[in-house]
Amino acid sequence: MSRDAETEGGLLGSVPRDSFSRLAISDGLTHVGFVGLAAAAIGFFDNAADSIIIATISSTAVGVGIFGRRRFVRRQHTAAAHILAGVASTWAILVLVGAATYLATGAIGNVNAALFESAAGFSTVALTTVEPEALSLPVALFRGATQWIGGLLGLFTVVVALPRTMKGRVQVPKGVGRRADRLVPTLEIGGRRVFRMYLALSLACFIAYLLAGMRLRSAAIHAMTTVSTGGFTDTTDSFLSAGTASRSVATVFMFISGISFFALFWLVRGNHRRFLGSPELRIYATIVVTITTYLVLAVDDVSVGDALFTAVSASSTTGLAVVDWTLFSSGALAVLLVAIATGAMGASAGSGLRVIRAWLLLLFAAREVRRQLEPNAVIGVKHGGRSVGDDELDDLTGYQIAHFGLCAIGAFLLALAGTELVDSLWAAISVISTFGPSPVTGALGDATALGSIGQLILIPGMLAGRLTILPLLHAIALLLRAKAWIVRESRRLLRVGR
Amino acid sequence: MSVLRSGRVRKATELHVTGLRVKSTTLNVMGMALTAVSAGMVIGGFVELGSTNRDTSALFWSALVTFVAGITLFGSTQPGEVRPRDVFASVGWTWVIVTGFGALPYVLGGTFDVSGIDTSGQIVNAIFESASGFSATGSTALTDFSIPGRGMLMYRQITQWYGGMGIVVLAVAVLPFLGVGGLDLLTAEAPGPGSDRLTPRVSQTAKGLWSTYVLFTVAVATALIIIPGPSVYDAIAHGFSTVSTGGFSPHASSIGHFDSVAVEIAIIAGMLVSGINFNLHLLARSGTRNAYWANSEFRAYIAMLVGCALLIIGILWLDGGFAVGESIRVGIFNVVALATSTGYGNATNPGGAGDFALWMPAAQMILLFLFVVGASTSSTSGGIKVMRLQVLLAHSIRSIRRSQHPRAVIAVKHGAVAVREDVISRMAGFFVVYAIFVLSGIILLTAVGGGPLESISAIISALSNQGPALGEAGPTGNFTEAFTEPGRLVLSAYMLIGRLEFFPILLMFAAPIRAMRERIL
Repeated sequence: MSRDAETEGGLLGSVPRDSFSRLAISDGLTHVGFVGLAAAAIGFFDNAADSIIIATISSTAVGVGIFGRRRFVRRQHTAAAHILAGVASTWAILVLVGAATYLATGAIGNVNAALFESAAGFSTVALTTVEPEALSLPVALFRGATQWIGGLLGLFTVVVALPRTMKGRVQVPKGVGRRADRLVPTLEIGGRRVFRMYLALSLACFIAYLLAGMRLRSAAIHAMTTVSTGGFTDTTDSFLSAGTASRSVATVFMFISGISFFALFWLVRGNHRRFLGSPELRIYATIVVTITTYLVLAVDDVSVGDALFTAVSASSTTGLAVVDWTLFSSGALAVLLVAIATGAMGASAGSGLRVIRAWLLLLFAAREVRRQLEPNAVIGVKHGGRSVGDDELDDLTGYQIAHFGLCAIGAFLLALAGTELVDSLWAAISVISTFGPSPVTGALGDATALGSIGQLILIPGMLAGRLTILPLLHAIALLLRAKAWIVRESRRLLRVGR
Repeated sequence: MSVLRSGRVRKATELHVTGLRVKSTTLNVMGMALTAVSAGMVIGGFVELGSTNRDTSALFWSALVTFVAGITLFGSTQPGEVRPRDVFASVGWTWVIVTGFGALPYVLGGTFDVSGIDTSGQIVNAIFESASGFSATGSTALTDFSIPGRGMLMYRQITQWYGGMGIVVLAVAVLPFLGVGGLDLLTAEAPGPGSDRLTPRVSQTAKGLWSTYVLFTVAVATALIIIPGPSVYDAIAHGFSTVSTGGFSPHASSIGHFDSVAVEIAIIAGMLVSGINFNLHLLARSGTRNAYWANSEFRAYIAMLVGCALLIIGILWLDGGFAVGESIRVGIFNVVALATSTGYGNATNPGGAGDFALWMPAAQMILLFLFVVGASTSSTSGGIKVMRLQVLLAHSIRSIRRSQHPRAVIAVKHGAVAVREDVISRMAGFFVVYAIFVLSGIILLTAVGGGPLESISAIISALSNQGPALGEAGPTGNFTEAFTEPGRLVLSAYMLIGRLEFFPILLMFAAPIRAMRERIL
């Protein structure tokens, strides 16, 4: 579309305008609106007042979303920068809608806490400022749905949108094996496939929870928060009082949610051999088994089941708990922190550094050590039968340094707010990995322990964790550009004024 | 750029070839280094003889054993090939063996013979103290400073002085016949990405570095002699550990013992200068104008120190309730002490203003950042170094910019110079290896009973050759109480690994394994 047509469309309103960001926001609002309407309908007989408020906000969101979808179109070749801006602004708008819902229903009394709860929801971080059992059914369902939408937004970003526009860059998980992007032949088809797989996984989890003896309300909420690796629950004690069957279901689905959607797509297509042969899947499974073994050996009075649950919860960055693991020994906590920081597989609903990146970093380090002995040798880094290019490794290390830097800045700001040094490091890493709980918040993720300032500090970290670090950095760059624009315009106006 | 990187296989100039001598660069350098270390023991022995006279025999016997071992190795070997794997083996094994022999005086003198510590614990502590000395770290396992005599404590200071500039650099200075391979040895031991060829002969460069080092030591010692407070003994002892950025002190309360602003200013100046790239000192000595300020790393080093000092002073003053003057005094001293990885403390007593283990978390976080970064390349300091940080940050920003503009060609610059891609790759590799070691070290230390705060800070402190850590291992604490025996052994290994910047220790088995394989096949 030409620039003239674009402008004309914008002015007259007859031709759809070309804006990926606004289209993404419209899509996000439509999704959250429909989910909110469903929550309001289901919870109407539990609490009519809350349902009406949620229905009103959700209807508005759907209305704005549908209007936006008609008004805006996507460019044929959307640049990476526009996609980054789109996902960051969508996330921010959804967080505002969520916070408005909590405030309007009276579920949360102050703005800070409402923003934090909403951000934790849409970032799939298992930190909360509310007593889940005190929430009405529609609000509890809406809260669970925020995590479900957050997981979906994360998947769209890392599986569908970014790999299509940023080919050849390791920051974007590309799955494993050759022609891994077959799942996403086009943005539209890829989006539909991911949505269907995610929905099917959620329904399967919901049914499994019901079969395990969970109440309908709990099954629905837990299905949404397990598959999205969110970790919200409708009880104050997470899974501590859940039965063995429910714990087993949670363990299985947390593990599945930590698997790459590319690999899951092979499984759906019946290519079991390729699925089981995925090197990243093997490493992911090995990490889980190693941590489970370590916990069983190093921690007294922890059963294999509880150790496995804790290991899977950490590796998939979900944040559900069956034991108070913050009371574990320092060694066990250190191992858990490494697992949380490493996170799940690339292109999964989980977050963290991602298994594929951690593995490539290890291979890269090994190559650099070898290079010391043979400085002129050409030593490649191979993964999954493919050679990883130097450009990709460059970007991987550059990205990794930014990731470390973000954790360090988050931890420093928390320390500045008065949190102890180790607690600050833990909290920053845990939130940026979208896990959530840390020794300062306890295993159940009580965010009130962080204080209002601590909560605000962690919100940008949640964005970075959920949608990769790039949208956050892009948002900062846009803010800086906006600041420069404001300064420039102010000077110009001053000159005109004189 | 290092010749080592070029990967050329060379043969050293063979001046002392006799039929019975074994060709081994590793054993030859090791022999030379042990002989030099025995000289330090002799000096300590004479100081002991003229003062407390408690550890005299321990020091002289240790000197004799070390000297005999050294001279035997040196006399029965001649330098062989200096391939990369030989370089790493020479440097790595030399430091391990020197650490082992360096622990002898402590074991024989019963320095760690206190109630509650058995023989194995004493040996572990002796190895820990020796590793801490030769790596110029400054962490101590000493719980009672009244047990070792003044000579033993002076020997302890001398070990840091050897470690600061490097015992292999000393060997290169003395062994001109190592020829071009000497630069590889020098590079492998020198802190930072590489040592430049500043003079036509490598031994000349090594001599230049050592003479600058001696000059600074004399200057610091003289300043401390002139300032009222420290005795001549104290002045010399602190001269050794200031210029080496080691941080040992014959006093339990370190520099806080003197409680003197003048002493602290002299020490700060010494530490600042020692944290600067020694190649810049050599250039300045050779008459190059503006040698310091023209260097981008130097400017960043000064900016980092000023920025961190201001932040800490602000936090201590506004949040910690310290008086302004006190905040400035302890803030500047500790920032310089920790950024240069010296690790001196100026707390006059446990819980005093200078005891940074009790500071606010944000101030401690800044200190932890300084632990990691350290000072300039090719200085006596530890850490990942300011230059690496600059390049890695620029590299990271480039990656983010490339994510927005995937086809853009963007150079990483250090100062006005574009950094080569292979150098960036090496630095990134170093950083990843550093991160892997930090993570594995924390897991190891916590697994053997270390507390989380102590383990995190002590591992970073050991890798950066810092000295004190946080928590119980803070500036007024000690590592015997903070860590178990296995924990102290892990830290000893980490000090050497950090001092040699990973690769020599990681690759020191490469040459013996290759030799064994060749012999078997």
